[in-house]
Amino acid sequence: MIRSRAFTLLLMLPAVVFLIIIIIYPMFFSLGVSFIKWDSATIPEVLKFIGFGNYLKVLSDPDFSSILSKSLIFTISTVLLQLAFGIIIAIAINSQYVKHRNIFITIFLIPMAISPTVAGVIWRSLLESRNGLINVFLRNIGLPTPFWFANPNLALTSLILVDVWQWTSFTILLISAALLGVPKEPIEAASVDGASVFRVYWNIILPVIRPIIMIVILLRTMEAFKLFDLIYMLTGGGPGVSTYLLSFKIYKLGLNNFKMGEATALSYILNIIILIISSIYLRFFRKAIK
Amino acid sequence: MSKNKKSTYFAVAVAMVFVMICTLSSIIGCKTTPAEEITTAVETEAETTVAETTAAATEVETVAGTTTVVERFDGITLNWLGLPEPHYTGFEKAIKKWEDATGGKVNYQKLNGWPELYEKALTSFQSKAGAFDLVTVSNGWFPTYAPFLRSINLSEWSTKYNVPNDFFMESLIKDATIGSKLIVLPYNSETYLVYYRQDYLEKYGVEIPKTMSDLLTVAQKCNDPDNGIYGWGGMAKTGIYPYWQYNYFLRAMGGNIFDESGKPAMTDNQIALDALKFMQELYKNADPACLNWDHFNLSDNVIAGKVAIVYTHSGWCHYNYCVAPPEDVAANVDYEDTKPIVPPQDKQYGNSIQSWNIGLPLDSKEENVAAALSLLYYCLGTPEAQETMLLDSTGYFSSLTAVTDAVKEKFPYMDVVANAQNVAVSEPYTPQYMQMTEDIGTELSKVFSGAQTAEEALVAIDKKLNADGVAVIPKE
Repeated sequence: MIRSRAFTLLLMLPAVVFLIIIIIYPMFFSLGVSFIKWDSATIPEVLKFIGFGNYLKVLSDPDFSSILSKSLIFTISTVLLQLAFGIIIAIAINSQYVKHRNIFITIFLIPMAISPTVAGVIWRSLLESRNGLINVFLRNIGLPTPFWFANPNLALTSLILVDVWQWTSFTILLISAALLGVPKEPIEAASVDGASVFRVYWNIILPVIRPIIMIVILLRTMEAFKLFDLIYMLTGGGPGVSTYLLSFKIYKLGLNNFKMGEATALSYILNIIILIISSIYLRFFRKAIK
Repeated sequence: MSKNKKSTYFAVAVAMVFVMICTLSSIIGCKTTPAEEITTAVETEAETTVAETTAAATEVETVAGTTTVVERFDGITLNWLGLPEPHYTGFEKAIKKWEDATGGKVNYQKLNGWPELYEKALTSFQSKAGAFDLVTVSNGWFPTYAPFLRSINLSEWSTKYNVPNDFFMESLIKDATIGSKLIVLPYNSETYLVYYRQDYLEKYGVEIPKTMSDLLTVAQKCNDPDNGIYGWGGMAKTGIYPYWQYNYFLRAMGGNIFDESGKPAMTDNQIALDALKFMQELYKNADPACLNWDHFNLSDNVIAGKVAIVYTHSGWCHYNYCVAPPEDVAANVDYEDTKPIVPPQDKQYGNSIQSWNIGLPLDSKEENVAAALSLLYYCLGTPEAQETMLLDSTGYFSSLTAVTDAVKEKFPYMDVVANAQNVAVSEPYTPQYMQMTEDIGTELSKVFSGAQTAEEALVAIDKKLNADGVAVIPKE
């Protein structure tokens, strides 16, 4: 017994060491950095421990509440839209009237297969205010041509639309897989009993695929909070600070202004926010499973 | 809870505490060297003189065309942290010449742009990796980078390589001299000039501006959005760009970001407010898309004939309109259409200078220093090298000797650009330069996007600068 236990631990050792090197050590290192004043003017030998100073500084930044609210708006909007479009498209693809389902799935998966940076470049040229294809089309049919990324009131919406375009396919993929697992018998029985299509979806199909929906919400929420590449490529946080989200602010603090202490402090705040939201989701998720 | 589980949890807890202690001690524990010792160490190392660095010379040769005696550096490879074209293009021939003459090799790392360079250089300095022998430095970064760079005594360098003391532009030497030492050697200079479209001024019947109010008049009269022409070109992309443009106006109007004690003083600063409100008036004649423009977009739009007049970097606008206009407009470019003038400065306070320089990191290999200094001579130290750099890198130079007749023929108005650069003055000397530009630029872009008023922005700027500890420090 002892030998087999020791052998088990020995087998686990490489994985544990690997985990410590790539996750545990960096995690504690960054936690340590978040309590230190470390900016571009600091020589590493004279780093100073300042307790929660970095946390207080980022939380008292006049822009913090606006950045947090914009991050929440972005996350909620993108997740809800992706979920709504994803469910509708997945149901349409999986209906009995659609043949060659796999072809449609493949087509819808293309946006997800594109690198977000490339997607950013594509959409930046498509939505360019003067010569972008979309504005040229709108101009040709006599409609107004908005400044998609230069109008402070529209830039966040444009960002949301691009993110929805790219990641709705993720929802389609998962919901389609879940729909395939829905048993046929209760649906046929309900149809025989005269239930409408809406009642069938609402009362039979939706409860069955609810766990998958919860997973989609959880994963997409975490990803939306961490969004950086699209902002970097499309708006650079502007105009003004209208598309500054938390992850972009972390980048600016850390890799643009070299304020490593504040950047790591804000990263931990972002992590805490994601943890809180995830735990709330998971509670609902467990209920859904039951 | 079973005994096994308890012991497992205990072991995990002990391991976590151990990792945490190791981590924290690695961050804080080893940083116990007192600040004074560090400063002394930096100063001591920085005292390396040119004479000392030449001790490793093994063979003497004569460079064709000059009487300068150079050493051999066989087996030495210099790592240079630099920027891409056109910076590299300017050095390419000189590097080849140096490699042929000395037997040394140069590994020039072309980064994508200055944000990447700033990040990589600072990371390298702070980790003391000793990975680079030469590093490209913007003058705004001098206060931050100075503790990590060797101080070079220019007089020794000049004597050794027969470079006259007044070889480099006066403004650049003043800017890069800290205490009594020149910490870097400059290779490019930029100031800010007004570029106007001659054809549009004629079309809309306005004169070349001589004062600030003239500038506004030109912008207003040439503003013709229905025909795709905007009177003014703004660059309000959030970050450093609005800072640059605002800084031109603030300085031209005789204002300053800091008070005499070096502390931020934007609140209740009438000139700062006037400059910002003046810019708001100009922005009324700008393409709304300029809220996402940087200096590249700005010069592109001037060349493309979409903007009548701008106040922008001499380097990029010149580069674009003289040498490499965007492909879609190249065929229609008439260089005579776009002309630079020294900006209308109501108080002639002096314009801001930006420069690119080369420094030698403290942590690079000692035996490579002599080779690096020799390479700098080949790249920057002769009128021929400067002229080649200007022609190849399309406008980069640091000595007035570069502006020859051949250059003027290829680059019209280069003497206007060079004379303006020669008399420009330094950026604020603060170790928090990047933070300052970001703080100010972000608040200004909020003004131009309508998110706040000019008065609110100035108060917010002061608050941010103070919170970030931004202050001008003595240059010593």
